Amino acid sequence: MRIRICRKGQNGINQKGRIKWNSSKLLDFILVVGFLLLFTTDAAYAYIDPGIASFAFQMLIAGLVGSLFLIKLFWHKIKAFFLKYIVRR
Amino acid sequence: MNKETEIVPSSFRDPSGFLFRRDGLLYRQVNNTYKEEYDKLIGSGLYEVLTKEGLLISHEEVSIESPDPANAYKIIQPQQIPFISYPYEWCFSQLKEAALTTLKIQKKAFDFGMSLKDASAYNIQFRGSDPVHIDTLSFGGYREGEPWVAYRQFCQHFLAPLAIMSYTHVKLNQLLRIHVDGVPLDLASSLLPFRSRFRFAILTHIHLHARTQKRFEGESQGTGRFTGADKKMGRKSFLGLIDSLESGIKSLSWKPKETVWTSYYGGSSNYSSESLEHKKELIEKFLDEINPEEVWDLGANVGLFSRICSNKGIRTVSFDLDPACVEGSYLQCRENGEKHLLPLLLDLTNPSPGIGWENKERTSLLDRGPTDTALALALVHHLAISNNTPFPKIANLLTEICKWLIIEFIPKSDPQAQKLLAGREDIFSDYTQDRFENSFEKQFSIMDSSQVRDSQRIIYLMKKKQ
Repeated sequence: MRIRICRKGQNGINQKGRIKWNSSKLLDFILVVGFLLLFTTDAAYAYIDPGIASFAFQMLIAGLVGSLFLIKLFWHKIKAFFLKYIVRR
Repeated sequence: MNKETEIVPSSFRDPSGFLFRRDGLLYRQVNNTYKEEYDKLIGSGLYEVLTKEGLLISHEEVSIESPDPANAYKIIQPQQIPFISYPYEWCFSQLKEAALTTLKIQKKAFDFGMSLKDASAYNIQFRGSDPVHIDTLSFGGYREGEPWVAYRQFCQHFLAPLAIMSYTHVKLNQLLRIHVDGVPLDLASSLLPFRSRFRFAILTHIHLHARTQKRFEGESQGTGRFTGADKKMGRKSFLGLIDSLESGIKSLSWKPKETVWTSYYGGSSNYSSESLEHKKELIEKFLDEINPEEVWDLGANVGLFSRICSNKGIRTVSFDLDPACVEGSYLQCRENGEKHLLPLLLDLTNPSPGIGWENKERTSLLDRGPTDTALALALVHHLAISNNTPFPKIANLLTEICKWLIIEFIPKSDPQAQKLLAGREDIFSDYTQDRFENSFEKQFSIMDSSQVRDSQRIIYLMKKKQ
């Protein structure tokens, strides 16, 4: 699995900070980074506005929170579908 | 500019407008730059929905001279909030209700094609137990594909302090007093215990969020700025983000344990039922004599005596330093729908200072007074004996706080005073009723006094000297 938050150009300048992700990899990413976080979080004295990082972070988790929201919205239908399937089996 | 006009220091950051006071009334200027959003807020029907549901403060457009006419689009007069309180003065449930109100407003705004452009806890105030959003200029148009610009602020002002209060210690809400723009996420992440990482909202919106901030610091320093201009966040993802924050906030809880204060009036050792009833009668009698508009109850405990005031329809701010007492009192307010009582956290030995820019952005407790009447019941012995504060200093503070004072003197022979003296040397030779009266009479006139039946305690009604 390879997730890149920013891609640097030849001159070292971020080229619009492209974020590549997909939902399945994102879940892995969160679990892995979450695991790493169990060990440390250092103090951050950011030169850039931390709002930009929050902005990017939302993009990163967008697919996950969107999917979870849809599952929650249609939970009853999803549950009913699987229950029906199990009963038939 | 009109000589009577005073620009309110808390709104200087907002380019959309500012607050000002004139002749004792509060106004808000809407700048030309905010014209489009303001018209959309009103025209879309969002304003009407939010004000009807009590989520947003209502206002009237008025025709008065602007302090800054070149930028003025409109002047509005918002409904007055009688007492401005700050997040570091709120108990756990007050901050939680404020967070949920912010998210509720965000969801409503989204239905009308708008979105909150900031999510500051200072934009929420309490009318009784009900939180209300007071910044009419916080709404911006929602543009498809954009993330929530207030996300970081919401996490810092609400989610992080609530998580720390819930997981680590409830008194860490005082971090909000140090960090005027909310608790930094790296600090929150380091204060939260290991087990907090097993809750999705906390793992994501605090731990991973903090980690990403740090990573971006490394990625972007000296290599240009990340704009994110080509990224899109769909509507469902946006709603998912709000829903995830809401679930996270709802999942946090704090159950106060019984403290020495929460059971103060429940235990038989402190008051006999006769003395408690007589004390209530005396307070009621004094209140009827002075008929105040507003009361501050200092050291209110769970608000037993505050409610004598608020039940009479008197606006009452009920201060106590024990988070469990304030939490209990606030939950009681919500349960009973009490409209005149506002329980708040306050340590009178170190009251809220002015903080933020020029120490004026958030005003000190004393700058929010004076109030009509203060109740100082079973308080003086704590200040004088536990905090070594001489009577004249206590009287000085109270003259700054109120015009009328209902105060209780507890002699050394009282069991409660004895408890305070039990573990220390009695160096308080000045702690006598005569010294108490002499000290207070320099700044107050004693209008009435009465001994509480079945006790040695004395309740005074005092009026500040002009």
